[in-house]
Amino acid sequence: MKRLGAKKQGDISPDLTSFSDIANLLIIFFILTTSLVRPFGRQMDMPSSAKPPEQQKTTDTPTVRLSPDKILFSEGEKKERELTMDQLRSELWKRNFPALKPDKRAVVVEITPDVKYERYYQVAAAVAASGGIIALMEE
Amino acid sequence: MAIRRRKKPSLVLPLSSMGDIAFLLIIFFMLASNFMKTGNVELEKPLSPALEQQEAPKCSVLMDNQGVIWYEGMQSSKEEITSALKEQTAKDRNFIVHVSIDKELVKKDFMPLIEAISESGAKMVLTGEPED
Repeated sequence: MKRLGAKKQGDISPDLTSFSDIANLLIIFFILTTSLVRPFGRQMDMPSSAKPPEQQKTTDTPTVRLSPDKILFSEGEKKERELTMDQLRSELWKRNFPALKPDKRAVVVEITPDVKYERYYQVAAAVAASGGIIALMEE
Repeated sequence: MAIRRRKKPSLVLPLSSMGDIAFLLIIFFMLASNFMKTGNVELEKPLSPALEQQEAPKCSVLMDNQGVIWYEGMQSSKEEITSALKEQTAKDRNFIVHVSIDKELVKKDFMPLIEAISESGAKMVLTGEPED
């Protein structure tokens, strides 16, 4: 007679189907919600308040006046010049801002109300890339 | 004479190794992932050649093509962003916030946001797309 309750000896094989189903659902969730791409950008050095103190703008502070179709660059007593974006970049690089004291690195960027963000961004990125600090001026 | 029927072999897939691989993938995603909090926001980033690849953002602020501001995936106002970033900056002086703004917006839309973030004292990375 077979004894009741006697356990059958043998391989233990837990059913892993549901286990891997859950794992696959988690993978799908991660694939859909994850972004592994590192963004491109430029860290901007700006004063803690966008409106710079009056004394920050000295007579020789480089000033960029930006409108939808023009970039006007001036510095000190020199006459305002119209530049292209590439000319502005090389003009800013010439200043060698990283070698200057922080209070001498300011670049004033004045923009007209109809300037689109992309245009402002290109100027701001150029200033930041050259080591300058952007000072925003209210119209 | 009786024909012997062939015994059908039972099909057993070894799923234990598949589960192992799946869990390894899960661990990889958990360690390497950075959740998208901005998938629902419609914005076109500006192009610029003077950009560098940045670290994955710890905190992000977006302004979509309608001028709506999103802070960490939640719709917010400029005041809320300034106070939230001030709190973060008080904890960590080098706190960096990634700012993405739609390229078509004009000064009256984007400048108040830049001023609000600048006022909080947080370091700001303006994100864009690299131009070839």
